[in-house]
Amino acid sequence: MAHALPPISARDVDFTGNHPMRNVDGPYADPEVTWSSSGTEAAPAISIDIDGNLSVKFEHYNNSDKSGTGVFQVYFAELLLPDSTTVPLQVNGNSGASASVSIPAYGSFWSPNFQISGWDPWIHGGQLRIGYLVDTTGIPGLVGYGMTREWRFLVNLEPPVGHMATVWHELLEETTAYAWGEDDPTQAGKDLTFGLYYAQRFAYPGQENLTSNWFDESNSFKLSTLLRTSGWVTGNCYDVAVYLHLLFESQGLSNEPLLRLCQRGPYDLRAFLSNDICPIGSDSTIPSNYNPIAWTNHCVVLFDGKIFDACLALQKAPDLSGYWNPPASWTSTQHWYVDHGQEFTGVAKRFIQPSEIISFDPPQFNFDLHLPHEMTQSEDTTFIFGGIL
Amino acid sequence: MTALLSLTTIFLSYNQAQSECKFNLFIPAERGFVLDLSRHHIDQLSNEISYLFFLRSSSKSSLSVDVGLRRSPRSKQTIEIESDPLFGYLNDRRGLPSKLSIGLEGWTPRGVSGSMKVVARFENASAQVTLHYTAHKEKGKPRFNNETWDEDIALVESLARQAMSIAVRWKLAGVGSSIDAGRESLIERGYVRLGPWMTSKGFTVTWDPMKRMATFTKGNQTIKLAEGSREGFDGSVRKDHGSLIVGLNGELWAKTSQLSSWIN
Repeated sequence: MAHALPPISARDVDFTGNHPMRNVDGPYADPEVTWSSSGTEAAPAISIDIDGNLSVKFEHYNNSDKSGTGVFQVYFAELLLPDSTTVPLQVNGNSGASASVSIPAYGSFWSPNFQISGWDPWIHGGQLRIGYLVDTTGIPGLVGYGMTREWRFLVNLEPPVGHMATVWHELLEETTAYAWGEDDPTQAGKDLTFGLYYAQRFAYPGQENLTSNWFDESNSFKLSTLLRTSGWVTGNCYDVAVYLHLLFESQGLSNEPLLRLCQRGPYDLRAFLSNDICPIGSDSTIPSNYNPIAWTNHCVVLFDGKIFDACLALQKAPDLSGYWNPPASWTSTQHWYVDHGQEFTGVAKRFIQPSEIISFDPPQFNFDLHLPHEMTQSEDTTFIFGGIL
Repeated sequence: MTALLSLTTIFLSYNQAQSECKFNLFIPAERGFVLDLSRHHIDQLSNEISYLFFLRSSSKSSLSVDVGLRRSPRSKQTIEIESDPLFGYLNDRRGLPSKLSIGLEGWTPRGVSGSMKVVARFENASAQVTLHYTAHKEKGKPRFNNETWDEDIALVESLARQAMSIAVRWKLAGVGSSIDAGRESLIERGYVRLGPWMTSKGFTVTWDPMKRMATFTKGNQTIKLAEGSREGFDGSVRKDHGSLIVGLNGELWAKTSQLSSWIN
């Protein structure tokens, strides 16, 4: 009775050109799939940008005494999208490609590199599927091998930058969902701002508790513990702005420093009354959720010279049309204050007068809501945080 | 084999940057918190932080306890934000069940909210305890599931006081230092064990493990002192005794020069 030889078995897969990636538990291994005695360990995702240059090679092991030259054939590559449609990808510029491969007895061997291309040039994600064969027809007695493999595949607008140079998988999935289909940086930035505002993730803690909740004592943002805490959490404007900043960085959008909007004012209180705002976490379609709040500074994301503010929604756009959304890609003036005569738009309304302050500790106010709007341009500074933890 | 070695190298270097937390804290099992993450981190400025992170599935809340030592100055912006004349919170330190501050500066929750955060500092040593509730939507707004606030703030106070003691020990004897090294450092700096010292003065002692507060009684005099605080109550009068009470392995340590003047 003849005994069947053991099959050729798969070991590593190595992608190159993809972005370094990690998740809340730590860095992903590279190569992306690593054989070990306990089995195959697969990195959960591949990240590439729309102009990226992705190649892949495969390692296998031949557990037999047969050796010779085989043919390694990648016969298809495709991207399976969430709507179950597929986008055919090119392998070395064609629908498939093959090359000879030297197969040793009782040893491992790598395929040549295959260039993968052809994904759509906008932010999206799906399952990368690659089908291949190890054709051993030319090696009598050696059984060939073939399979289809899959990886989560995320297409970025640009390579991740800054704190996301090793991109966090969780944030990349989040931004891919928010900015799906975008190929324009500004529009992607707007999508990220709206996405975070409506995500039911952060809730502004309100006037009674303005402290930041997600920074440690070294001014580092505690992203790991935030991601491990599910659902809605409190966060002030610094928390929201830093998180939005990280979302921008995950899509490779320019990482300009965060901007602090400050205002000294005529009374030297550094306090101003905001316009009616709907803080992040509340339903911006409900007019009663818009109220003024007292601040001395406010933190926002600056990108391409424009302001993106996911912490709040405003009822009116700078042209006085109905808006009911978070400001995104507004100029500094538009975001802060525009005087239209009888009306005004923007985040700030007027300086707080000393007579409106009942108590400093804790801060208590009696706002005179009949006082006219009156503001000057804010005194902006940058906000540098100590990294992510 | 090459691939295995490479993978091992990756994980080793990662573990060196993100080693295990260098302290332990006990949380009673009935509180429902399960340890989810334990980390020690050193940043580029050599600031060190160790933290434990817990999850409570019953109410979907999270709890983080940090102990840190700063080696770089706090940024001007941070100082400005914290000490803002109108919204500064550095001196807002008594929103705790014991009504006694922790550390030399810091802050406590101002009111019931969706989260509570206690920050306590002793020079460059710090302790931080944060508890986050999650929320559900109600009438277009998040409503936080904070029904257990009162018992949670008591737990947070207890952890913050213990964490402050650990931070002070690290400051005096080094990060991750042993109990014995901490004891030697305290003795070198003139600390004595508070319980035996007060007993020698004729006081009896009771201990509230949740508030981390010792109550000393002799005749008509009652003195209350809490771990991690330089304040105490002499009867109903709040007084400053000039140095932090440090907890170490179940013992309270204190400098007694000013406390002596409290005793009738």
